[in-house]
Amino acid sequence: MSTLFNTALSALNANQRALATISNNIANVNTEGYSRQTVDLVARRSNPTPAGSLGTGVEVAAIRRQYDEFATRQLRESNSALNEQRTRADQGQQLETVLFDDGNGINSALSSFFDGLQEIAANPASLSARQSFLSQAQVLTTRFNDIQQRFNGIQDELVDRIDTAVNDVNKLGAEIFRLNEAIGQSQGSQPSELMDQRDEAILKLSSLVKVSVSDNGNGTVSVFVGNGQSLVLPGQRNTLSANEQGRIFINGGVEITPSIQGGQIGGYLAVQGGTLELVQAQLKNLASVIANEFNQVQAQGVGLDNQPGQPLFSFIPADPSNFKQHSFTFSVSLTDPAQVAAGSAGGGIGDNSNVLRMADLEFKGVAGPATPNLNGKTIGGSLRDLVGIIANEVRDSRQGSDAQQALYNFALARREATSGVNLDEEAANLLKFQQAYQASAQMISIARDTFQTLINAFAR
Amino acid sequence: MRISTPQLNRLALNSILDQQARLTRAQQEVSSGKALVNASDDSVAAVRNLNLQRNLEQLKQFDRNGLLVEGRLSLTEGVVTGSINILQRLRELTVQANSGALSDTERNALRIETDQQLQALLLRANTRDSDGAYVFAGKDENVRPYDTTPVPIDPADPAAGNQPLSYAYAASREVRDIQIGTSQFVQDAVTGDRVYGEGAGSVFRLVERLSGLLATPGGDPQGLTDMIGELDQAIERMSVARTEIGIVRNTVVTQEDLNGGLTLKIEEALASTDGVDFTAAISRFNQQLLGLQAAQQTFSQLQGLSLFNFIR
Repeated sequence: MSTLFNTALSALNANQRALATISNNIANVNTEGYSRQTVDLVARRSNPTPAGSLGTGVEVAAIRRQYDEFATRQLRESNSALNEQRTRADQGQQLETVLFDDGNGINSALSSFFDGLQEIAANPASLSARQSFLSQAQVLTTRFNDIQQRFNGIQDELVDRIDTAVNDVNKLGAEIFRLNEAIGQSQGSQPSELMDQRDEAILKLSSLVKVSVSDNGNGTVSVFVGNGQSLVLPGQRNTLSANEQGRIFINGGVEITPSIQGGQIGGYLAVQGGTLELVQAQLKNLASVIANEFNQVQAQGVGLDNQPGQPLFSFIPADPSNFKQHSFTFSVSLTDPAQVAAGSAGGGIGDNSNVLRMADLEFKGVAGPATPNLNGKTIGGSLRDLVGIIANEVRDSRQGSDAQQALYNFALARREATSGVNLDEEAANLLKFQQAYQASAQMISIARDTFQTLINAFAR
Repeated sequence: MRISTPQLNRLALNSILDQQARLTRAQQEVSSGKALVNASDDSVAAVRNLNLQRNLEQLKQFDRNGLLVEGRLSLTEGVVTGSINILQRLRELTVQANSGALSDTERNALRIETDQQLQALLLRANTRDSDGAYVFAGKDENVRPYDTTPVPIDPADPAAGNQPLSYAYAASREVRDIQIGTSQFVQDAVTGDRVYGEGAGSVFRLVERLSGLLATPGGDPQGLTDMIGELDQAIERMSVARTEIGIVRNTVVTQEDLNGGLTLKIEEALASTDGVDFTAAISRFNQQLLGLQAAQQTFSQLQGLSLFNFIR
């Protein structure tokens, strides 16, 4: 009799827990990072009788968190890679736009500048042709400076973004640490929702930087960022910081910038040290080459006053120890149009031999170790070629980004396949356990009737 | 693979977002007319287009130079032709004077005309263009080719008259090169010494001698006969110069055509890579529009499906 009651009660309990679990799943269908829970039912230990073993009901062996460690790891990895590629593509795009201009930029300024030389060559004695050329030289230097400013602005923006991202890393590190403590201290079974939250925090962290996680066996995990820099350890947490140059330090001491890779921060650092560095250096070198070459040819010839030509351009590089080491000041130092050295000494005011030499500079090669990427390119064409170099990098990053997106989508699908809640599935289970619950409730009613019958049998 | 409810929504939403992005891209192409929005869309075409653009602008500059050269040469040619006409008139005049039937008075009239023609010739040799440059001065375009300033024999005695002019050629013997094509330079002038000669061998001294011959009482038949030969030589020298100018003018015209042909080719190349084919772009836009509408409709249909709708 009591067995009847107990068995029915056990069924009621088990089905109630199952229903509660289903209800929890349904409630959390849209919770970010939630892993659905299923109930493991197991038959209770039976009692041996001469006729055979008599079952004693059902109990919930475990409320299992549906979780695929491998899928989660894959998701983190592809998330880091995706964020890195996307960041490189987006930031690289900004650089590309600065140089790939539309008729008002530096390429058109260069073109007008060289055309201006031809105007003088056709009309060496004309003051207006010379003045026009000087104006175009001014526009050219202004454009160089504009572009320099824009690159500097992008550099500042990168430093800001790195700083913000590093702060976010620290916030997430703190959260993971807190969850570690909570999970480590919980008695008995693992608190599923805390573990989900911790996984979610680690996933967010992976957008910012590459992460690797190791299980400490006691419910806590250790989290490493980049190439093995420890962020969260048992009982200890490290803090990252970024300085005004975008360099990253651990606990305010050792610099760890080279080992911070992957994720958005990895992307920002890659662009800062890669493409941005490249374009800034090449721009500065080109300005320096233009100033040198033109000033040399100026000196070889004479102006309208038959005096040797004074320098046309002034180029002053910034102090190399300066953070913005590729900064420079580029300006036109010649103000008197009569001093443009169009002719050679003794050639007469109609001589254009020297200005033709200047026009030829458009096709002179930029040489030397100072301009590795522009080596062999022409003075007139090197910026156009630079556009191609940057465009290729951006395109590679975009393609990488697309590839990583596909991998990320697949990893996400894998995780969802195991951990995601399907409402139709829960609805079906709901019916299943509700039916079982109703049946077990009916069982109790029958058990009571059986007992009543027995009592009535003994009553007078 | 098992699909969770959030995953279902995510897939459907991604589909919509993807279609939206494509639609926006197609719309950008149609409204801007440009196929190449970012350099990274096609890095090779981007650089090539930048290079082609520069080539186009350079060709325009060469055309401007060519026009300038053409203007100068046409002026020069005109002046040389005028000078040849003067010499031919003087030749006629010499033949007439040598016919033996003229009186001293009539010969004097011819001498007066000869003197006037000498001045005309000098004026032509010292022609200046609209910018004030001497046409026949070569690179020294601010130097008058033939100095005609009268220098008194005795500064204290104006009545003593002036020294004879030397007709030395004072300007440059060099002419500048002007670029009118990618690898085509032409000279935009011819120097006076090659047209008019200089010093004792100049055409001016020749005409002075003619004037002298005409002033000789009774004429000088031998001298006049010789003079005809010399005038012919002077005319020949001028004609050679004029032919050379003509050749350069032809070169300019030919180069203009070449430049024009090249410009057309470049513009076509630019239009084909940078310009968008509107028919294709508009049909792509319409396709994407349909795609987006389909994604949105299927999304809303999916949302309506749930087992919960059928449970009581």
